[in-house]
Amino acid sequence: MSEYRDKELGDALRDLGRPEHDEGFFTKLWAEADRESVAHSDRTVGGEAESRETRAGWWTRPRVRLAGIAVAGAAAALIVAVALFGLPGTERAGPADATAADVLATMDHAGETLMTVTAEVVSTYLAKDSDPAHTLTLRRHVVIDTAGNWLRSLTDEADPEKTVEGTLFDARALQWGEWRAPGSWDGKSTLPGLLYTHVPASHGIGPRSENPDLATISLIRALLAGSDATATSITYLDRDAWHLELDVPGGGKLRQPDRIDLTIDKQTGYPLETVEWRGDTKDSEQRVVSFEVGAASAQDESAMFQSIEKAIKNPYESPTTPSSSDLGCQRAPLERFVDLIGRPAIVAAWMPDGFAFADPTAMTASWISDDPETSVVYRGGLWSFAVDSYPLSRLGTSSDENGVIDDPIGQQSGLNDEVVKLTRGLFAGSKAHIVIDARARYTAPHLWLRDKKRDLAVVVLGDLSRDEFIAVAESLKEGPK
Amino acid sequence: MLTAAMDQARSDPYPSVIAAARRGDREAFATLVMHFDGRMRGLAWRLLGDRQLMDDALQTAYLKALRGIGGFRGEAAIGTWFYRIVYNACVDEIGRERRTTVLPLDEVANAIDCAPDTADLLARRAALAAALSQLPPDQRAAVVLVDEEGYDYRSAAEVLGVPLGTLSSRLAHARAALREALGGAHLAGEER
Repeated sequence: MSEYRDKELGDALRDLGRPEHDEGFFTKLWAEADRESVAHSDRTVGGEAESRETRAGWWTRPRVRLAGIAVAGAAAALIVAVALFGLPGTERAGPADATAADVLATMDHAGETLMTVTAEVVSTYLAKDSDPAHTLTLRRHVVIDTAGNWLRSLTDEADPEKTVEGTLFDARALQWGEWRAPGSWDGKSTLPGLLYTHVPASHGIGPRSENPDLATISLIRALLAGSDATATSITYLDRDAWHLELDVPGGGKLRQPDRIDLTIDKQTGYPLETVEWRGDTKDSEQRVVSFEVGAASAQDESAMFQSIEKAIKNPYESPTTPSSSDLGCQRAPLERFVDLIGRPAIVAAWMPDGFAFADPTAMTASWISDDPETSVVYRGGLWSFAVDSYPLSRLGTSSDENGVIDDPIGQQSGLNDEVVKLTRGLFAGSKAHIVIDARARYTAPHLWLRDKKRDLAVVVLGDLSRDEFIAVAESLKEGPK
Repeated sequence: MLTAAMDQARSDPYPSVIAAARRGDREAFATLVMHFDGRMRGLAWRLLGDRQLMDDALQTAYLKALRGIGGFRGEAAIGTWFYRIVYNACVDEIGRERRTTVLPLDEVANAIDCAPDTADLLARRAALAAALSQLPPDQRAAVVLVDEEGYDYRSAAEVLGVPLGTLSSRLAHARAALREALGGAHLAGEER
């Protein structure tokens, strides 16, 4: 049967529009869902398999602002804080001695001599709003390197010897995969960008939204850049670290935290402890319980597996499932883009200090041959950002001209987005949407814009601050033709 | 096959989000809802023509989806699965209300930002809305899914729970009626 779509009729129907929900629709929906959730309290929650743990009183505490009180008060507060929340291996020391900008600068230069980070992270968070006595705990192992590879596995806290889920991203091989049990792969494929979603999953960053550790790093870096908070030097797991509290702009709405207490490793910039608060309610806590920093070296897949294997003390066979066929992703010199896909890549002419053009042969040609995506990646230590572009037709039939629903990253609408008008560069005059939102668990900070004249959607995604997103966007230009 | 896969790729968020939602991750489920809500509103609005009914149907549908997401096995795209739940909720709503839905023209006008609109364009919209409201819900849903949302026939048939031939027939009827309302002729290549 031949299929036909009446384009004119479709356009006319879309032109009729659709109303928004009444105010309170989602509040009512989530409240009802919470009520249903109570009735299904045995269900696992949290996106990863977890075991349940109840720690009475875990979720609340008085708000403590280290930077805003007198030295004596700070000392007292620190004593209280350590008494209440001090962690094995954590040592608070001294009054505020650095600004958020100092911390950010430290993070930005952390990658110059690095590195591979291997961490074991324990996360605890509220199971549900309506029943704060229940918290959930999970444990995961993370390996990240500056070449863009990463691997994470998840261990059931109730059965630590059993790895239940994992994700590997091999930047060089453009591979991505998940396994559900040791040696058992649920899927592995050449990272195709479009195969799984219309998110421009830049191969150089990987499906970043698949890795909450990387997404958290992106958010923290963005928040640091706009913060006037001050930091205190502490020791955490025998490592020098910064501790500070960051307000989340626009926070407190829906399920978004309004404050994040943060401990950052000084050498690597890796978040060692992240505590999210909504008012006086602790929403989640992620603590690194073991941490290892390796020398700068490109890690291959087997090395990463060995690292994980060592960490979890759980031998398993390397996956033998062959990668899927090439779905169109390929890397080529920028000079070849026009020949390959009919247009040049969009590249950044400006980037923050410490970043460099990391993948000079980076390109993702879509598996849909006439709908190609370009992706150019820049790295600075563990940080990275990508500039992706693809035809506007990819966006489909969304009706909201200005709303986040049209966000090309497309995973979650309703996030905070700031609209700015670009004043310089290739896209001068275009409206750009900047999304930096702590609720965006399945995406990362990004800027997106649409250029109807060029029939292009452009996304800048990764470890940048608001001002840096704008600066990069205003520096965008066409690559070599 | 390529079309179906492409549609699925355009519709589905990362599989891990779906997997997390299946395991009961509320944030993941909320992500799915927010991802699809615009399209679901579109279908519900076209079928019910009343904002309160639309919200009622979507509340019911989303909660049903929450209860059922654990059993989602991926035989169909997650978007198709959502559409089917919403469609059924709307049909139930229509059955309960037993009312002929007419898209309120003032809301049609309000739903779009039409500052520079001409009278002709408004009249055209009103005629289309009125014609749409006169179609049976299954025909409305067919034309919304295929022509407005770009679904392939197989996926649209899955949503409506009908064979491909039935879908094609409903599409032909719906298009003819709406075309007549628009005052236009059939386009070349259209199925007869």
